[in-house]
Amino acid sequence: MDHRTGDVRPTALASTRDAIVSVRSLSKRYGDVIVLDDLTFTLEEGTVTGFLGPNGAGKTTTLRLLLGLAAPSSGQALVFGHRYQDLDSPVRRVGAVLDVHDLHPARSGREHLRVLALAAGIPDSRVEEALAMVELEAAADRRVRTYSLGMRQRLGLAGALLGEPRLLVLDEPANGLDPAGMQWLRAMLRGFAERGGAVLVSSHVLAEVGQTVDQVLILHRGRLAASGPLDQLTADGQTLEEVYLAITSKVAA
Amino acid sequence: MNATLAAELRKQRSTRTDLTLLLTLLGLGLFAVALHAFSLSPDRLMTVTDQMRVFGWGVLAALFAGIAGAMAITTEFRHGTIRTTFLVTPQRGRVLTAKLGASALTGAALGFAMELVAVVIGSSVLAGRGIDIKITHPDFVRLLLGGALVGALWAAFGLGLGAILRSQVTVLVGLAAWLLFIENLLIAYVPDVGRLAPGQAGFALMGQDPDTLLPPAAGAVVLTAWAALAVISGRVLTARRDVP
Repeated sequence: MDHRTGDVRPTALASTRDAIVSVRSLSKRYGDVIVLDDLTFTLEEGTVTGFLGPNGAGKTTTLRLLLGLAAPSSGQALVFGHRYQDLDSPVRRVGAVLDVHDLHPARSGREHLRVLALAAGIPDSRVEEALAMVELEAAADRRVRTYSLGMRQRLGLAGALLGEPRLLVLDEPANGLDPAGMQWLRAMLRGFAERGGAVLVSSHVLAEVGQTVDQVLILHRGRLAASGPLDQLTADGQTLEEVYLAITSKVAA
Repeated sequence: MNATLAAELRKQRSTRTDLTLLLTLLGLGLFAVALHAFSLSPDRLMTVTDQMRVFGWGVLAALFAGIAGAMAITTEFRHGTIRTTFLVTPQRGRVLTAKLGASALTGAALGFAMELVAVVIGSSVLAGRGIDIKITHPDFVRLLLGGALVGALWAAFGLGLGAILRSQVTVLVGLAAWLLFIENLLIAYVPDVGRLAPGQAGFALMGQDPDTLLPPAAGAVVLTAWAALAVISGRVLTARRDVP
């Protein structure tokens, strides 16, 4: 299979066994603009999947469709076999951070998490655990407007981990993290997958992705341009960056 | 549902928005009531209707309650927290119902507090000037409970508009321009239309200007209809539209 041909259906990730995420023929149009075109993939437990593609390739749209924030024009996006909005208590199965800036600046970190916990029926003691997990206890009572980008990322992650989910969906989580934060994130994601979870993480930092993920999905102009285990994609001696640039710099014919 | 409502109430408490609105409203109200009570000449404070102009500040209660209701949802769109909110509670209608409950409580508290200040300050000043207070006990009850009801209904109206328009600046400017400017023109030039407007219906509910406005019960029905129309439209659109 030529993984650089957009028309080839991915087979490497297409098994439905233990599928935590199952995306089938997913498309999204806004008027005449096709943002996402016939996307199909599945994610299984125990995997960390890098979701790559240039700006505007449709990554964030895919995540919003997966999380029930937007409705697909056709096709379906299922988590644990259901639409996100049909899950019983979604926060206990899926943790997501879509935008690091999705925080109220006047609310403290602890209050932010307590609001989420209250809505999800999670006890406040779990809020303290989540704060400890991301090492944000010392700043927990400060207003979010005083937080650095990295602290916002960690607060977002604490919110995603609150319900002890089995699927993590993260949009650019490495953005703003310092080297120690990156190392922590990498270990957290690996540990999460080793305990049977699945992670879908979009990123621009290819070097970081190469160290963290098992498999990648590369999106280009709304279509799946390549997918597969990382070691297979880079089997002919190319780096992930070379593979990525070869795919995404191609002008649409 | 209870968890969603509890979360909405906690959201309100965890920022200073509502406290700021309350203090600003009471400050402005105090100023407006005192100015009228001190400066109107005694011959313009003879009748019940005259004196109701000192005590009835539905316009301030409505404006601030409308702002509180609108901000309950537009703040979430402005800061992007609406995404997190809908991830935790994907049933968007349930979120809006919880916001309706929380906003109505805030609006009622704002309206009641405004009228309490107006009644206490207004009657003290008039009594101090030796002017007979013509307003009777039932009028005071109507002002206080009416203020609370106008606050609750206008908070619902503001929430609905906020859900429809989503942009905080648009809704807040729109509410103020409508209530302070457009409704005044309507009631001055086409009173038959103007008295059906949501602000004038609210003032009627509190017993203000009975010569021009609807009877209180009719005012309550008309304002409730406006609030219901805004909330239902906002719900339908929120359920249908993609979250930005």
